[in-house]
Amino acid sequence: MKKVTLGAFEELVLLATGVLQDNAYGVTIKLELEEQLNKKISLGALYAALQRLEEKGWVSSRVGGITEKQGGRRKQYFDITKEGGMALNEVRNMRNGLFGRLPQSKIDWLKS
Amino acid sequence: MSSKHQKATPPRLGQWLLKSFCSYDFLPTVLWDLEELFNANIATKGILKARWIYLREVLSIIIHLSDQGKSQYSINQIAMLKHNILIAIRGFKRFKTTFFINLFGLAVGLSSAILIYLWVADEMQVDGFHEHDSRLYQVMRNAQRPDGVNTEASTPIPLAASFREELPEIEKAINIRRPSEGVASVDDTHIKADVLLAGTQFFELFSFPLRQGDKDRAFANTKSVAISTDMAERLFGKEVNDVIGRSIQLKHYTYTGLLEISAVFERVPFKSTLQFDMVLDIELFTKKYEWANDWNGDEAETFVLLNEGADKDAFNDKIEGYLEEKEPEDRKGSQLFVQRYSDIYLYGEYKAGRPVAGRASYVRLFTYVAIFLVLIACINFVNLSTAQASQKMKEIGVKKALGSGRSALVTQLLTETIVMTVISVLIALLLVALLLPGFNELVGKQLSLQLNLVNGLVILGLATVVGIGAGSYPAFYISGFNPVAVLKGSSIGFTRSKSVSETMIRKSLVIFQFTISLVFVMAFVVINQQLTFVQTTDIGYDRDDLNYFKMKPGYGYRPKTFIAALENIPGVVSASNMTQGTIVGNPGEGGGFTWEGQTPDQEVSFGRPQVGAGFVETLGIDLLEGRDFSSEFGDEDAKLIINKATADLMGMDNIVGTMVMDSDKPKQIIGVVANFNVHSLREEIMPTFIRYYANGATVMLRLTDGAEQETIARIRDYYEEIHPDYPFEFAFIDAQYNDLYQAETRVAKLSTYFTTIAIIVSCLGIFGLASFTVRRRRKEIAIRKLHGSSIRAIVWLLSLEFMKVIAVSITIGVPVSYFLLQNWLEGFAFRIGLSPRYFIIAAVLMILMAWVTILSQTAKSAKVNVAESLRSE
Repeated sequence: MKKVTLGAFEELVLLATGVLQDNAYGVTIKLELEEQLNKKISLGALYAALQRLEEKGWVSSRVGGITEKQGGRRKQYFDITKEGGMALNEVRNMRNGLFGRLPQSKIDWLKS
Repeated sequence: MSSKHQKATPPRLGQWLLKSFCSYDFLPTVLWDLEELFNANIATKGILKARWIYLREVLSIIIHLSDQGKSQYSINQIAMLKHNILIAIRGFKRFKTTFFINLFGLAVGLSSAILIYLWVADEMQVDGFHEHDSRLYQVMRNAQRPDGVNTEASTPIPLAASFREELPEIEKAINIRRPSEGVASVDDTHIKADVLLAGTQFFELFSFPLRQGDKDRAFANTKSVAISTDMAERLFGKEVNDVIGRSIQLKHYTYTGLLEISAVFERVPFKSTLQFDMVLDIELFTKKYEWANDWNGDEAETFVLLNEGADKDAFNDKIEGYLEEKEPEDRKGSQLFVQRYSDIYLYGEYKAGRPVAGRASYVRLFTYVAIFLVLIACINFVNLSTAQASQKMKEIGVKKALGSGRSALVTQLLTETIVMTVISVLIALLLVALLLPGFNELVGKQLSLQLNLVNGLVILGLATVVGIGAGSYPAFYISGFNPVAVLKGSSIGFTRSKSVSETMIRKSLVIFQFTISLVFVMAFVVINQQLTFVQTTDIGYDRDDLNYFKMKPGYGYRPKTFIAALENIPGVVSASNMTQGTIVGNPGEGGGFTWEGQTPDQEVSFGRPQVGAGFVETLGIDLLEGRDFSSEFGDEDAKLIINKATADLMGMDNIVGTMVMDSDKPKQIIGVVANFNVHSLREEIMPTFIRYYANGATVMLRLTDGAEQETIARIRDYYEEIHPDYPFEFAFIDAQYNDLYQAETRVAKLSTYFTTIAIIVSCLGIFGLASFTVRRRRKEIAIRKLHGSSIRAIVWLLSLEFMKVIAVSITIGVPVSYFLLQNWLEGFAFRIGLSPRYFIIAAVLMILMAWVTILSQTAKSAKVNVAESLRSE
């Protein structure tokens, strides 16, 4: 089986989805990320990432606030799944592990 | 977000785009999010910005979705688009020859069209950059002549002032005298300068931006001068920034002395027909030559700025008789009218007192050339696509059987064309970028392919027209196959009559292509023949070995001794001088000659060059009677030489010795010379009075063959003794003569390229058709061979089909090109006849080209192995 990887941007989206808890949908995720990253993010890029995450099973979506007819508007919420959380954790552990192996001199140099 | 904004709705375009690209599944989500963002943005950023952001987001979503393959978010349209593009590319790979023929044809056709478009756009913009362009007019004058109305740009000097005072429609009016050469000096720097004389409001009428100084103070007093940035740099050096108030020394026919710089203008753009280095107040001229202020003379050109809202036609009606009112005696029948300044460049020729297309006819001509080149390329596409339709029949049949609608098939086939067009446009742009420097040299312009909005739209438009024009017929044709017939294995999905009409269409398109190519070839042959004629015909004087250079009057130039000394230099056969340039295009025609027995009321325009001693001899003009001007006689000023045309006009025997009044001076005719051309051969030879004037600044001289370099070096030494500060500019009369035909030479050169392109593309077309026909008739050929047909007979059989088509093209093309070229040639007073020889050359060339093109295909087919062709079933 192909190794499922978590891209950098996907990781951020996944984190934001988790942070926003049950109020995570397109606009809120976009605004949250824009605030944290201090740069513009297009909805297109965001949807693309969410869709990839959904295919990998790391987010699930549910629908809220359907308006009367088809072709109307609808809020689509995203929730982080358990597997999603595990993936995040894995990435974090890997990163922490690597960071821990940085020599002390480099860390001091960074701080100075 | 609960409060609904009644007015502020998201942009319709965005919603429509989303609806056509998003799946129904996903659309509501996107709409919700976008609307929420939109409403938030209205509050913080305003409605316009919010709409803009909305559209941008829509685009980003569509772009990202189209990446997604067959995910839940992907939709049918995108999948179909991908499928269609894939099919198109597979098609290209399968039929490589056709693909390359089409690609090459379209790319070459499009790049020609783009180049021509750039040139045309540039021509249309000439003189159009002035801020008040829409109100800036030049006053033109119609003079009644016995041979009809003559339209001239020159007008009397008092006209501008009188217009300003008397006509309320006029906002500003000034006089201008076109640039003439002078020498400007600061300390020891002397440079040549083209000096324009103009009224004080010059910079307010014309938008030549000032870098230093004020528009309204540019001519604070008559000794003020405006110079170009370029002049300022050359005179004062680059580091000097402020030159206002500095003085320069000028030597010019109107004024010699010190001037104070009052303004510095930016370099005059290439798109201006007025090209000048300095502007002087025209009052310097009118003060020096008081006679110029007369209503009788036409010593300047008048430009007016009409008031906003003034009606040009009403104004023209009003000023029509203006001159006649002022001078009822001398200006009988004289009429004035105004023409928009920016129109004059293209519509600067006049018939019966009305502007007609001058350069505009070349603009039009090349626009047609561009259209035809693209058409030829499109025809290749149509022909090859329909011819190869049979190869697509199975695919179309299966698709139809599986329920594909006709519109889907049309879309698929059009996609193929569009992909092809897009690739061609890209290649064409590349070609344009590569060819542009050479093209610029050819047309004498500074064109560049700027990717601005207008150019972008034009190129996009061109691509769309080509894509749809070339693609729609094949698309509808191929998608119209009857699936049952196709799948049953019938080789043609149509009834017989339809297939016949289809070949007819294909044939008539080829006929059209070759007719155009033939016209191109004819034009190429005739234009070049006429140019050769113009360059080799005897124009009455001998241009070979005839050279000239200019002296600076004043500055120690004493014409008589100078020319005598020149003639003593070994290698100089003879020398003479004249005023106002050389013999080529020598200006200054007019009336003013009267003699006894003259037909009354006959007003004729005469050429009236002013020349020095030895003129006739130096130029090698045939002396029919009498003698040349000579410095051995004392009173040459009172003598005249006439040409044959004048002699015929005067119609006397023993004409030498007759007295003629040159205005108020009686002069005696001392010689008659053969006719000679001064202007281009477009114009008839004018009756001419050659007058004597010892002090002309243009020196013309004839050198002996061989050792010219040494002779020229000696002349240079002598020149530099007299004018140590000024460069010696030695040139050939022949080169100057050829410059008269610049426009024609350009057309001739361009016609070489465009004719080649037309022929190559057309031939590629029949090459493709031939290879297709040969493939289709493979079995027939094999059977014929089996029955003993010779290779020659088969080649002949296959060629005949195409030769018939070419024959029809020739039949149509010959009269068409005869008509067009006769029309063109009529613009020349001296021209070649359209002999049948040219038509035969062109026709034979066409047949030969076509035949050679298809020969390789037909010969190949005739040599095929019979067994192999027949076995494959």
